[in-house]
Amino acid sequence: MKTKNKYSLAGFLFVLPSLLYFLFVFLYPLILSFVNSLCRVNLLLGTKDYLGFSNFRNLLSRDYFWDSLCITLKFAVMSVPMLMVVDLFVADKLASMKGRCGKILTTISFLPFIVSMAAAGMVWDWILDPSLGLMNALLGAVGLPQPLWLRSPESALYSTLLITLWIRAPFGIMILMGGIQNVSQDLYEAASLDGATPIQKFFRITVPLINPQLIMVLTLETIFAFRAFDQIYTSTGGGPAGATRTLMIYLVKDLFNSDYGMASALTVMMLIVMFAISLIEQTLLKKKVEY
Amino acid sequence: MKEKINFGKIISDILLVIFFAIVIVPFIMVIFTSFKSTIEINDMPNRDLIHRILPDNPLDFTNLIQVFTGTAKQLNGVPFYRFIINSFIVTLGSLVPSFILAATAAYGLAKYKFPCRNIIFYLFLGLVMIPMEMISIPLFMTVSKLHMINTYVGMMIPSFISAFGTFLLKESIEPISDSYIEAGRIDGAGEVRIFSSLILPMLSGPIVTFVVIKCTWCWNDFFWPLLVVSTEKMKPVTLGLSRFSTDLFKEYGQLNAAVLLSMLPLLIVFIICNRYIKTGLMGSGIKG
Repeated sequence: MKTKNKYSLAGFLFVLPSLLYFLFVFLYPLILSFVNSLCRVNLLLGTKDYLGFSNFRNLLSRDYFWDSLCITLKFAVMSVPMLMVVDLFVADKLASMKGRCGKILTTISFLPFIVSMAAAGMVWDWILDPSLGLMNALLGAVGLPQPLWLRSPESALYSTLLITLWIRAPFGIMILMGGIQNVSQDLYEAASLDGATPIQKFFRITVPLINPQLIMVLTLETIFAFRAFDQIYTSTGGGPAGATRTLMIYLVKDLFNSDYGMASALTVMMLIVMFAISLIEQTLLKKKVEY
Repeated sequence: MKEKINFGKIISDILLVIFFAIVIVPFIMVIFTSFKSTIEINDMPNRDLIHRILPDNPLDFTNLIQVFTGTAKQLNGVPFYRFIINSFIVTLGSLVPSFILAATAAYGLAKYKFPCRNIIFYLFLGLVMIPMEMISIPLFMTVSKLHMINTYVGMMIPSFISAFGTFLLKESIEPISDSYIEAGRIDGAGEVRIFSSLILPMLSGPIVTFVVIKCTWCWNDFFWPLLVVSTEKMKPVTLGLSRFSTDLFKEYGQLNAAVLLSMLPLLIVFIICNRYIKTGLMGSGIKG
């Protein structure tokens, strides 16, 4: 008994440094975030006056907040399904490729993972430059209309989707590929014997069996879409005319330097919304698949 | 019937080719554009497609040299290698502590039983889900109170811990048989020694995965440095880069040269270790 206690103490001591760091650097600020959202915060004087919910009320009365909420929702509603479809499609294709070619393509598809989102925003800003960039040169060469991409309020948000696809796809593809490769080949052979088409096999075998990976990618991409920042900041900076001002851009550009209380209120609201949405996604999808 | 299947396959192959074109083209454009002069770039609308892609003078290193040494206008005299050095310091400086914290926590959680173990585990799990941005304001206030704005330590503070690394290593330690640990105890080795000389050497694969992914995230971090760094000389690569995106009339040649320089170190690491990153992500599939 004594030795057992000794070992469990040793185990706890192994975990303790991480736990303490976690409590101080993550949990404590998280709690402070909630407290600050109810206060007027003065960083210079170090004072906090309790205000109740007036930061939240203040925030909800601002047009910019509603604009950026709409833009963020629009961004999430478009980018998450797009990423899921592309990830699933490419992962399935790559997993079915055998030999060297498949390996090389897998490596290539993973390349954007190492590029910073800031750099991605800048590179795509160059490719999508309306008069100098490659994209419009290609479109012009085949006689298609040449939009202004990131430079026009109508198309800017859609253009940021392209950047997001480029930078985010590798991560989801890798996770889904890992899932697909673990699916037993016997199932596909049995399905072939029963005369199933490739499409049937995909939807009846692959998709249900990689459900855990799908839920994970979906959750992470949803959270990511809500906090989209780097690639938008470096490509449009929230412009033109506020067309790409997501909640995070609003937070950093408008609130962060002026009002910590209100900025905290915004992060608290975002946190709650993110958790609610990912909870809904998880419960809905987990129910659906009971094989 | 047979034709129908082929038809579907052709469409999906075309879509795959388009996907790979989208993936690869930006890399090609970054490399080629780094060698183009401003005059050449402004002449783009008058050129045919091939000459819009390929540089006129592929050995023109002016952009790369100007960016690297800081003579490019946007850099205000701060050489780009300064940003690269800063990023190296921040990345390596967070790598070692985060590895030690993640590995010890993973070992403790995987191989010992103690009260509250599961609660602690779920606390770490929650850490994966909380986006850095949500705690950035109070953390920023703490960092500024401690006078760590514009310091390397201030930049590293959130990266000293790695939830992703903890999970990755925990999953890799769990399958290792307990008999190794017991054998070590019988031979009189202390717990720390068992961990460092017996367990760690068995984890070379996951450790490489951890190192590469952690380096990638530290190197590419943008949001936190944006808050805590304001002096030019302390900026990491990502912030140094963004200097080129602020002007209305962008110097695309220099911008692309800067992007190329910023991703070169990681590209080299990636080429050396790419197998480990893939298996690491595919196997564990956790991000923190």
